[in-house]
Amino acid sequence: MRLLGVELTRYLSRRAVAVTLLVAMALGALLVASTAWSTRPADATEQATAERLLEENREAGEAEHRACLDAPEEYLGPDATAAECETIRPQLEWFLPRDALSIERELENRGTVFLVLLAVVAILVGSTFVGADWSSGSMGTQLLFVPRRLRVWAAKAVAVVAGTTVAAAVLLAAYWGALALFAAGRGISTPDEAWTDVLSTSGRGVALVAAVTLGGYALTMLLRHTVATLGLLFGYAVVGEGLAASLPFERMSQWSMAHNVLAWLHDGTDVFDGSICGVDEAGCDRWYTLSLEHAAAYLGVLLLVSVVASLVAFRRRDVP
Amino acid sequence: MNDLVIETRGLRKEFRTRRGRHVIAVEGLDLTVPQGGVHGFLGPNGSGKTTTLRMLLGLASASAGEMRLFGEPVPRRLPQLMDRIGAVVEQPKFLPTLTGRRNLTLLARTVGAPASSVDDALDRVGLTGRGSDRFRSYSLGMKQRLAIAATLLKQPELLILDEPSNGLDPAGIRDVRHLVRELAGEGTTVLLSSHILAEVQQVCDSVSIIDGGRLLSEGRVDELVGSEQSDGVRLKVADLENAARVLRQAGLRVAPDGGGLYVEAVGDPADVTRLLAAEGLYVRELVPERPDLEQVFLRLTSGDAGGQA
Repeated sequence: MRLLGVELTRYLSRRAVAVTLLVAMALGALLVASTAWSTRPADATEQATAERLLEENREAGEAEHRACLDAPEEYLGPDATAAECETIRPQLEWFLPRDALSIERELENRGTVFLVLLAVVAILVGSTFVGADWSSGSMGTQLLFVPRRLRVWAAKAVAVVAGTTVAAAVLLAAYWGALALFAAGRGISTPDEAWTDVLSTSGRGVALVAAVTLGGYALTMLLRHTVATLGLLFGYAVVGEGLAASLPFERMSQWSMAHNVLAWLHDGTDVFDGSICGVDEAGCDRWYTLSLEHAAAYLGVLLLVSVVASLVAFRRRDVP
Repeated sequence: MNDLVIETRGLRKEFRTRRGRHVIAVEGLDLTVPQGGVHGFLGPNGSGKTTTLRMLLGLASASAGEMRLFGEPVPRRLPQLMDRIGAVVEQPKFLPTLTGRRNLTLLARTVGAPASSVDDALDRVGLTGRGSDRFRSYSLGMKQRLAIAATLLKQPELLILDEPSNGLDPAGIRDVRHLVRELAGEGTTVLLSSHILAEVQQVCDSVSIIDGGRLLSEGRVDELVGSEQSDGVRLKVADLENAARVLRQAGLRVAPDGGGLYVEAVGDPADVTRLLAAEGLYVRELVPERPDLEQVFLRLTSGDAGGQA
């Protein structure tokens, strides 16, 4: 516990860590501001224009509605009912210059962007936290005080993962709290299901942050240099994604890091893969669902390999 | 009870460089450091001193051989022993963006040392006024002092210092030597690794001399120096020319030496004064050349070593 306390203090003392987390906070604030601006309520002129356009299109729209009622399946596809034809009647929102704030839509768009940004920041923090120990040589000094290497590895890992995970959770809470305030201020109600989705996605996002922090830390303990870790991850992203997209095997896309991250965050994701069907195979569905379980196994194995390699190397290799 | 603080038997370290070259840094080193006093670990650059220390301290693994600290096998028992050992190996290494005091505080907390030990250690190495400065702003000498301060946090029974005078100004070197002697006087065993002969001769009670990863000689400094043959004298007389002639006629080898003469292989300096006085040449000044560690070291490391002392 003494060693963990020291590592937590070192974590909080590191300026690079603080700066990186501040950048994450600034990016979150920027995303919130961007959302607030792009979903701002229509002003009087925009409202009047929308109402005028609605009136102009009402007659044509009603005609379409009547036609839909006669043959719903022609308009809305197989199994459509007459009741669903209501959706094609012109509505005021269609003519407004932008959409109103929607928590559900934000979760799919900027909310996901923010989670991915937090994951990138977590890799940087996990890597730079211990990269400084290697580049300054203070790792050797520390081992002259605590020679139990596995204990040192674990204490540093727990400190950087705990610190970064808590910071990510706080930033996510602030992000969604700010959007909730905007929604409430504009009189927009959000269904409970949407907040449940936000909560579960954010929970998986925080878990992803914890995992990539540990991964970045483990790789830097293995490679002993922040830049080497970032270079390796960049190379993996470029080469790995390239191979996943180009190798002539069926469903290679399931090994794409990006797809698996999205599948983890969104509890599964639909992926388009041309390799599923032959070129002249008519009616074949080239979409498939990459499951949460697949993503968890894929990311978990990568993390496990990194951690084991890091621990073995740190235990056995000479320390400069 | 084992009175050896450090003991290695057949210690060997070999590794491959990044270019694949096979290097033997330490080869069959048998080193013993007795308890108490200051023990010098002397060798030219690249002789394997630092590699040996790194193996003893668990920073590097040994390829073969045995090591013991306080009679306990290392690295297996190192975790139990490390609280008794303070060490500075190579350059002082701390987090550059933290202050000197902050770096020491974290290390003190690591070993459960009281917060007051940080101020005491800074005070002892003369860094009290600069403790609040960032480590990266320190001069090399200040970094060296901070590293020594860090070793004092544990109040060690064994202090291992690797080239502690590196980067220090003359006053700093004097202070470190004084501190080393002071600690030895308090009962700490100090292993001082150095390639500076004068430092070892001035500070150390005993010494191990290594080169090429092997032990060349080991023993008390005064015994090693005393065993060295050195019987030359430097003398001054009014008539240098005649004096040289007289001494040469007596079978001695004489060479000009500044304003005087250097006479080699004199069994007894009195023989010189007697020879010259018999010819009416009276010696104004005669200084027997004292053997020193440099002569021992140069003889041992020049390849004609006579084995262990």
